[in-house]
Amino acid sequence: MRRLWGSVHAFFASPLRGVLAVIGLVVVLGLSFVAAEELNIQANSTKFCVSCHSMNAYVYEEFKTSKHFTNVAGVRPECGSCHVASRFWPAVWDHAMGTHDLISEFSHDWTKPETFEARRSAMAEKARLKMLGEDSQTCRTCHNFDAIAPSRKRGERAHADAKQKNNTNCIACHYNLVHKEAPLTPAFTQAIKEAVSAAK
Amino acid sequence: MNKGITLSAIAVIGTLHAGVALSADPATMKWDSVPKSQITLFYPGQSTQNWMKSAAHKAGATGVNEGKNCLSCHEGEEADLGKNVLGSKSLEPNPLPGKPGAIKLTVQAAYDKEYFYLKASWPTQAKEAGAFHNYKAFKGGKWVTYGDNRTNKDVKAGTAKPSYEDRFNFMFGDNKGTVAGFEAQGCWVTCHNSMRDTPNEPTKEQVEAHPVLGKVGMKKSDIRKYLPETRTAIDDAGGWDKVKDKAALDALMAKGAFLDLWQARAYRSIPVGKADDSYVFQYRNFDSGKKPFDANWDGEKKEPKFMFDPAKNSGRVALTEAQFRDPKAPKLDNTNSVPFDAAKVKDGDVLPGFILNTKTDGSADDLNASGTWVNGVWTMYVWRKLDTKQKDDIALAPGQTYPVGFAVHDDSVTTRFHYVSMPLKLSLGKNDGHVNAIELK
Repeated sequence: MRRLWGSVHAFFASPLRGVLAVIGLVVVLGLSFVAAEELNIQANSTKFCVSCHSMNAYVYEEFKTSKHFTNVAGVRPECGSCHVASRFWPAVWDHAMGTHDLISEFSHDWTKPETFEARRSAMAEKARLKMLGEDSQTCRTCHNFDAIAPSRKRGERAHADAKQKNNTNCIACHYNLVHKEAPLTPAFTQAIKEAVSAAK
Repeated sequence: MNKGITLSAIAVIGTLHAGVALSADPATMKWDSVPKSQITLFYPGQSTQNWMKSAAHKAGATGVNEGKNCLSCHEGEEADLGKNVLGSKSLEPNPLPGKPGAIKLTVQAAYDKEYFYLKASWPTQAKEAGAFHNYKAFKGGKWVTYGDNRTNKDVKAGTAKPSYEDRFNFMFGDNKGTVAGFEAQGCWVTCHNSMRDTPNEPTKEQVEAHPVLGKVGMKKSDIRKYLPETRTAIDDAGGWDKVKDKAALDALMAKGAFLDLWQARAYRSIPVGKADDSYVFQYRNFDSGKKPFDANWDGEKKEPKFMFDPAKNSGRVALTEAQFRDPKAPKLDNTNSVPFDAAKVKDGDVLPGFILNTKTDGSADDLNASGTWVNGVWTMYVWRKLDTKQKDDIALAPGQTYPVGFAVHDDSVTTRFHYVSMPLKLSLGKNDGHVNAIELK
């Protein structure tokens, strides 16, 4: 240990070497960030997600029929736009957690629709609870609550009520926008109630 | 040309009923000074309470679970809702041809020191009064369906004719919120999967095998309205079979956790001067006592229970086919009938599916009704003492506001094929209701 410390001390005895070391560290860290961010972007992409059979055969087909795929504004989110945090470190965390899906992808026979349907409710619940817990942060990346002008009276009323109650967690109401209908599970229903109570 | 019929309590039975004699006759009251409420009733299809709380109701389910009133989102869009339901395969898999999505109901309400009066009118879809119910005919040696509701299998197959009474329905709760959810969800609090003509309907055998509802208990063979609080759990099958034990039900009933349900029936109650007085609790129960009608059908023998007394029906024991839905044809009741005798019927004879009772009694006797159908518009009157003192009725009092729901069965339909209101309010002597009753002086 003493020898190692001695070597380091000897190396930094020259100021030039110290400067070069700092520059080198910055470059390595910078490149690492760039690589990680590029990985985030690639892993956020719909193209990447649908490279798995379970995503391509079911959820992507449903996505294609939704307003989030085709709309008057011509805006189309990637899978990760909704399901992965937009900030760097949370996104890294989401992707790290997402590796678990790889195990699932290769441990089930997704060519059978019944395999997916048997898990739809649980998967929807997981995604909904995550979004609810994040206060629909990914929705807000694109949608500004105050800029939303609902086309129907009921939407106007619901949004006005939500704003008045400071209860604007998008997913609490809009939980079935993109994918095929999945039931409201007791856990998600309870989580919404708690979110509503907390907002009051 | 004015084509109309009058089914007046007063004209038909005079002063047989003490209640009628003591109250004003609503048909001759001065209603001009009573405010009119125009209510849009819409077609609900299979939108049960289960549906309301499900993902299929989308954002609405969150509002319902939060305790919001349906009107908080849907006020003013009732007609669109009805149209959408009729166009939705999941909410109405079997739409009736030509049925509009909504109708307008005009309601007026008044009260005096002792009685509460309700007047309701609506334009009917049919060009004749729906003042007839179902009929059986004797053909080829057996009794077959001759007329029934438009969703009956024989009517749909074209072997029987559409014939079912029109109805004005009024449901209300107390003003203390004793029935959870009624104020916010209205009649939907009584409407669940598993009921007749709703998803996950149990078979007749399943209901009859139930220890409380079935053959050894209430002798029911299908499921009708009930309150969730009378069940230990509610699920996608509605929870019809999960009835709480007797002690729990008795405790709920004792605290008044039920809804009063009035049904002015154009065939089965109005001709005898009554509305069907019921209440919704663990089932859609009739009030205690002798009610205005009974089934005229013996399910085991597969023949009617009663037929006309020939001495009181021009020598005939039944109606002819030509008398089907003839306003002048007699109605089978306790005064003109005799027990059925198979030896006396002949091919082509027609008998009503129900027999009327002119001598109602008990709590089933305290709800009066009359009605007229003129130029395509039904006007029905229902009235009763403000407080009947009956355990199966909810008392009304001046100066109070109550949660209510209105509905209409129109054009030979039953069950879900009706029109319903949003959860509304009725005030007596106040101005905070959707319908505001004024005091008659």
